[in-house]
This record gives sequence, structure tokens and C-alpha cells, in this order.
Amino acid sequence: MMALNRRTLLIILLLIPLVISIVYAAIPIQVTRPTFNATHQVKFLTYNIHFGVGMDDKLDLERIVQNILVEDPDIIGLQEVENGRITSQGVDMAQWIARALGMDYYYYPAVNEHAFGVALLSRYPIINITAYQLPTIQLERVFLHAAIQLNATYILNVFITHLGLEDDNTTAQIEFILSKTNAVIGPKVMMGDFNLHNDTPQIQNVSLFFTDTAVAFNNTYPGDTFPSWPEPTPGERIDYIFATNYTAILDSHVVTDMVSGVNAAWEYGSDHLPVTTTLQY
Amino acid sequence: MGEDIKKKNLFEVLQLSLKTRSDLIAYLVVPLLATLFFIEAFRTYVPGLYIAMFHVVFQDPGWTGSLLILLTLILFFVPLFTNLLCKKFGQMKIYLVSLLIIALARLGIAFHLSSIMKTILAGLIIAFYGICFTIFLKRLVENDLKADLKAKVSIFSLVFIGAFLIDSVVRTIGFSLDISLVTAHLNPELWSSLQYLWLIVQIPLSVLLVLFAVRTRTLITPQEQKVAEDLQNEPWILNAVGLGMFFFLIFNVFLYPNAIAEYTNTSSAVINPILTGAIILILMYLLFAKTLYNIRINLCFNLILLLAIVAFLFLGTAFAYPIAILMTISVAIMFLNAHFLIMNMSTTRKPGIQINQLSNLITYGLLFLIIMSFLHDFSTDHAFTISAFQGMGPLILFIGGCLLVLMTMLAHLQLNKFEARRSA
Repeated sequence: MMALNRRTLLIILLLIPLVISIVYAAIPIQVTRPTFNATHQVKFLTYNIHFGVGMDDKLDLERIVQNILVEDPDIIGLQEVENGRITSQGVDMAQWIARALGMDYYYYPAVNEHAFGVALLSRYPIINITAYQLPTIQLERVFLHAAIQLNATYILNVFITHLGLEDDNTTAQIEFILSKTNAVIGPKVMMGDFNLHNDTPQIQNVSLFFTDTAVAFNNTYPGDTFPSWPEPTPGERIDYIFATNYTAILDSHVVTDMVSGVNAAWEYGSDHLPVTTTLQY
Repeated sequence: MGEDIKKKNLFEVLQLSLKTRSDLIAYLVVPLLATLFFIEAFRTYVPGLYIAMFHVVFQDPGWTGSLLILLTLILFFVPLFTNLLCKKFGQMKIYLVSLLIIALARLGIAFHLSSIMKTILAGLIIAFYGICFTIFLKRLVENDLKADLKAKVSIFSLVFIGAFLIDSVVRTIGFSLDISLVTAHLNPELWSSLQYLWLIVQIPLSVLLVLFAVRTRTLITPQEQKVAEDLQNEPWILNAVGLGMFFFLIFNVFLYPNAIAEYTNTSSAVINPILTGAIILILMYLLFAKTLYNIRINLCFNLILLLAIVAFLFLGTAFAYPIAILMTISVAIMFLNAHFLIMNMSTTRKPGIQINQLSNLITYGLLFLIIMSFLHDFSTDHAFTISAFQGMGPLILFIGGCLLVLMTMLAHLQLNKFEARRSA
């Protein structure tokens, strides 16, 4: 009898992890939906998270989330996101960040084995996603197109990308991207790490169809985005938020102060700085 | 008495041992926690080393600090000196000091120190786990537990696999290395404090490891060793390759339901409970099955494992859930293989199991693990840096799978040969 009890107890004990994993699988991400109708404003943020590794070489997703929460955006485009690789502790980064922020998400890796992905996180419902592999002669890169429902009638097209490093790559990639974005009708926001300065022909080409929100809002050079550290000047502006068909740009800036009163490398979760833009529709 | 024990399953043996050794539970907790800390340490070590490699290769600012991290690879050779250290200071001292270092180093990692410090601490845990693994296994085989040889080693396999189950639970809850990453009420201002939440769990775990190690030190007092002349030492490299490939596949694919889901275009929410179930299944099999050692059944299992790996790597997205589920259930076969390898390395050398053989085995096993892991990492990320590796990721995983299957089957053959000789 005692043996039977102990056996039953042991089996119950062993089954507890199974129950935990089933319960956790059943818990959906709790998304707090914003009320678009009240303000008609949407806040965007683009952030190359460098696989969660900051300039101090620390892999710290909490810090990435903290960096994002400084702005608390509605729609986020992330680049250099990994999933299930031991080099980033096997974490599903997009899912983890989405859970921490309470957002819907979609992840699309550029390489078959999950490296170099981009992710879309949104407080608004994502109603459709199309993902493309970009033409490349070097490392594979991707481009996401999401249709996001702001209210019952208003659909916003959001594009997220992370371009290659060489001119040959980026020229072909920009042409490919514009062929897709120009085929879409309606309000559009395109954001990401373009690996291009704003005076390059490729970015000038994009500017023919989109407004560079940071430049338009600030009426001047809005500041560099890479590298995030050392201070005072990062060095390059390669992360952008472009938009069309909005009523007004309410704000646009490079996020430089992650923890108030602190000015140190450990503030920054990545080698890039995030860029944020708030648009009125 | 001995014959009676042989007919019992592991659960019954444990029941019997518990009657004579009230501190058996504490005794089992020690390798359980040490293995858990090792799993977490390896997962901390690889990212640190990976980043350091890039800094050194590209000579980034401060790359000399990264060189220090690369030097921690030397720590993988530390278990080689187990025999020497034991002779000089005594097995028990080395065992306790190793566990103390593991407990403190894991605690240090939870303090979110600098990347260099974290990687060094993780390296220390890996190195001293190799020493503990060696001494624990040797002492376990030679102790006076009321169990036969196979049952004793099965007890070790049980706690070894149990650590992976706990790791799976922690990752399920925290989606990462530890539960501190659950940030339901994350506040940007409180963030730097919230990241230390895991210490509430980690401090008691580290203290428990040290206290139980001290408390149970008498249990692993060995009987007098007898060296059998007729039992030749089989080549330990076979087990080292097998163990290395087991760790490589587990750490790079099998432990991550999200990785399995990504390859097969399925949902990790579905795969995760199946993975946990598969680990529980193998634990129950070890606990309650009376016959584990049928070579034909083992061969069938391993062919299924190989089939699962091939299907996963090359047909993953085409068949989605069937392949994802097959691959996930194969985790049970992976752990069964680990059990056979541990059984082979411990029993075919009994009596007179040699520390230097075991330490060689674990050292080279860890080296195979790190080599294969980096071959895989460099073939799947930043592949442009080593063009020869580009697209080789699936092939490297496949080679790892083939080697594991081959080494496990050879280990099983050795086990059978040993049994036959012993019966004769």
C-alpha cells in the first residue's frame, strides 16, 4: 500500500512539469489594445537589437525591453532577432519580447537556421503578413509586409526590413522593396535598419515615395543611430522610419536616454539606437 | 538478496535503498543540481565565447579582453587533472571543493556581472562539473547502496535526465535561462532591480547544493577497490564521441521546442508540452521498466532517431507537425542513448573503474561538444565570415546524429559483451 502510494506520488510529481508546460502553452499573450479612435495616433519604433547583445557584450533581453518601454510604442520593427540558437541561449527572442511587452508578434528569419530575422510586434491586430527573401549576393536578408487593423475600417501597411552591407546588395534590395511597396495602396510605414546613410542614392530613391519622418519632423539631421556607444556621437544614421498618407508627424527622434540620470554603456541593449515616430492619421 | 534486487525495477531498488539510507534523496539532489547548473552554464558560456571570437577576429576595441574569454577554453581540459588532484588532495576534498565552486559560480552568474566574468564563471562550472561527474560516477559504482551495478548507474542517469527536465520547466516558465526573465510587470525604472529576482531562487539552490554535498559525503565512501585482470579497458574515445554528440544535439536543437517549431513551421506552444512529456516518458521508462537492454529494440529506437533527424533537417516544413512530433518524441531516445553511454563508461570497467579514464572521457566529450557547437554556429550565422561553412548547418547536425547512433550501438555491443563475459 505504502509502495503504491509512493509510486503514485512519484508519477504525480513527474507529471507536474507536463501540467506546467500545458498551462503555459494555453496562456495567450495578454495584449492591451490601444484605442485608435480616441486619438488617431500611432507610435512606431524601429530597433536593431543585435541579438540582444549590448556594447558591453551582455546578452540581456530585459534591457532590450526596458529600452523599448522608454518610448512604449504601439508598433515595433525589430531586426537581428534570433530563435532557438545556442549563441543566444536558445531563446525565441521575438516571442519573449512580445510577451514581456504584451504585443502580438510575427517573426521571419532570413537564413534557414533562424539567424538574422526581423520581427513585427503590434498592439493592434495583425490581419495579414507577407514575407519576402530579398535578392542578395551576400548574407540573406528579408522584408516583411503586414496589414495592421487600426480600427474597423482603417488598415495600415507596415513594412520592416534589414538590408545588406554592400552597394550591390542594397541597390537591388531597395528596387525590390519599392516594387512591393508601390504595389500597395493606402497608408504605409516602412522601418528598419537600411545600412545606408541618408545621402546615398538608395535612400534618395526611397525618399521619392516615402517621407523620412525624422528629417521631416526635425527639419534637420535628426542624429545618428549606430553605434549606440561610445558617447557623445554615435557616428552613422542607418535606421529609418519612412511613412506615407499620414495627417501629421507628432514626434520623431532617436532614442538616446534609456535610464534617466545614467550615461553609461550598460544602458544600451544593442549596438544600435532605436528610432521612434508618432504619426497622426 | 542480490538476486532479488536484480529482478526489481529501479523504483523498487530506490525504495529499498531509501529504507537503509535515509539521506538518499539528499544524495540524489547533489548531481541533479550540479547537472542543472552545468546545463545553464553551457548555455551562458557559448554566447560569451561567440562574441569574444568576433571581437578577436575583427580586432574590435577592447579585443584583448575578449582574448581572455577565449583563454577560458583551457578550462575544458581541467577535468583531465582529476586523477592528479585526487591523489594530491583526496577525492572527497576535490569533490566538495568542485561542488562549492559550481554553486558559487552559478550564483555569480545570477548577479548579472560583466560578460567576461559571466563567461569565465560559466567556464569554471563546466570544468568542475567534469571533475564532479567523474568522481560521483566512480564513487556511485563503488558505494554500498543496496543495488546492483546497473541500478546504481541508472540512478545517476535518472538524476542526470531529471536535471534536463527541470531545465525544461524553468525555460517553459521563463522562456530563457532562468525565471528572472519573466517580467509581467516590467517597469523601465525598476528594471535594473528586477533582473536580480532569480537570486531568490538561486541562493537557496546554491546553498542546498553545498549543504547536501557535505551531508552526503559519507554515502559515497568507496569500498576497497579490486582490479580485475580479465576485464580489458575498452577504448574510452567511443564513449567520449557519443557523449559529445549527445550534448551537441541536445544543446543545439533537441532542448528547444521553439527551434523544432521554427524548422518545421509549427507552434512551439504545441511542441513544448510534447518535449516535456518525452523527457518524463524516458524517466518513467528508467524507473519502472524491468528490461532496458535489448539491443534489437535499441537499434530500432536509434533508426527512428536517425529518421527523425533526417526528416527534420530536410523535410521539416513539408510535413510540419508529423515531423515536429517525431523529432520531439525522439528526445526520449536521445536520453536513452545517454543512459547507455553512461552505463557503458561506468560498468564495463568495473571493478576498478579508473578516474583517469572517466576524466579523459568527460574532457574529450566536452571538447567534441564545443567543437561541434561552433562548427554548427559558424555554418548558420555570419556564414559569410567562413564561406566554406555556408549552408553546412543541417549536415553538421546530421553527422552529429549519425555519430551518436553509431557510438551508442557500439556501447550497447560492449555492454552485451561485458555481460556475456561476466556470466561466463
